[in-house]
Amino acid sequence: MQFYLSVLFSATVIVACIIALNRYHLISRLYRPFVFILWLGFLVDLTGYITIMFGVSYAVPGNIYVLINLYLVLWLFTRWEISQSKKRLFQIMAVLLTLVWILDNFILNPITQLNVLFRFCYSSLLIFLSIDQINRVIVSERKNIWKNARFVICAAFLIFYTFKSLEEIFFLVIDPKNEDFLSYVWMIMMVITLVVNSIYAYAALCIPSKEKFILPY
Amino acid sequence: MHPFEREIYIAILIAAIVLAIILFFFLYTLVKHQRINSKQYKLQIQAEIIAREEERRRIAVDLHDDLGPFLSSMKLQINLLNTEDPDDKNLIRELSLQINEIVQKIRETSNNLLPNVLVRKGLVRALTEFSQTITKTGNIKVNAEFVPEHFELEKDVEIHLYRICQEALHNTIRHAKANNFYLKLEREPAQLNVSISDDGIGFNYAKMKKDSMGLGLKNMLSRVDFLNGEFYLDTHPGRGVVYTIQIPLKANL
Repeated sequence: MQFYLSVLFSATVIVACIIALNRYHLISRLYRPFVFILWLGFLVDLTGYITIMFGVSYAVPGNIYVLINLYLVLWLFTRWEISQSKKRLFQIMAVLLTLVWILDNFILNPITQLNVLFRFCYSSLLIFLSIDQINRVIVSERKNIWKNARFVICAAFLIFYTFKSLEEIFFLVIDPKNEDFLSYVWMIMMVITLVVNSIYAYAALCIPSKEKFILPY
Repeated sequence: MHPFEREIYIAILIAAIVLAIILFFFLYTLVKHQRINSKQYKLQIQAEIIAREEERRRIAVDLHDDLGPFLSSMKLQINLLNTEDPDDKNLIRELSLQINEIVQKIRETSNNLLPNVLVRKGLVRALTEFSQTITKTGNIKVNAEFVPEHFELEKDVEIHLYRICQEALHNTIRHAKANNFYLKLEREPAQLNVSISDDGIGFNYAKMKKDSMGLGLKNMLSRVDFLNGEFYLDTHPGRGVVYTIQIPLKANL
């Protein structure tokens, strides 16, 4: 039952994916990586559930997905950034976290299991980047902040990755035999996923359109 | 304690630490961005003030140096017209008087835009003259006091202080129904204290701030901010207005 609920809640991201795809040619190019993030998440979740149903491990695609997702999110943040030095900083972060991914999946652990180290590092990085963006929007936005796509997307990232990093800590520290507690954590994560997918759908609607080109005369 | 219970406590403790770090980072970046934004806002205001002053200076110079001499030369040429017709003679006299009036108006406008005395003789003389001119109109008595009696500041600072005093006096004349206006500039080694007050009807500051502050007051605040100064306003309905301004001189001079 819990598994099907999980599938259902994860699948709600399709709403955001369809809205984003429908608006793809209208939206500002600054937000296009977000469309890829949504679709990649949806496709990987779908693949994951299918592989699990066929009794095949989801670990390898899952481990590769988190790395690609990191690149996409950093690409999104790079698009938003004006400062060249910060853009370079994002590139350095991408390189460093790739090294952590290699360490986690090839040196410390095999890639055939779901590894925690990289997930924790990348969740933490995305939390800090989202907070930075949120605060930047808070102090500079003159219009309705709840309609600012950057704010909404980062708020969703912040909620999701904060709980994701806590989940990783719980799964790392708590004995797998303590199934009751871990199943509560899992259920909360499902609800968080549903909430965040709804926010993603709203964010896809808030993404500003491209500037219209107006000829002077 | 059950081992499971112990693990849960440890996990919760770690989670709390992580959340505390996130909260700290949230507050830290909020303050950081607020500072950056406030700095950018200040720079924008400064650019606007500089542009406005530059524009005023340019118009004042154009009026004084181009239009004034041009009209005077026109008057000279009109007076050179040779006619015996009494109607024409009358017309020439009238035109000459009108040109005189225009020249006078241009001088006044140019002087309002950038007082000559402020440029040539400094803030103290300019404010003294300004006070005397306003007092002569009979609407309000302006009492100006300077400690010491003569001092000079950097030209830009003087222009901003002059505008602040001018704005305060205009506000008083327009809204306060006051009989007296008091202006005191006190120069200390590291700062300049400006005290401006009137005995008018005052106003409800909280209500005015809620309704959106007046343009004059906003201009004064922007200029004080431009000079890195502090601005204090004390007013109540029926009890006049007191502006206290402190401008650090080391940062500006």
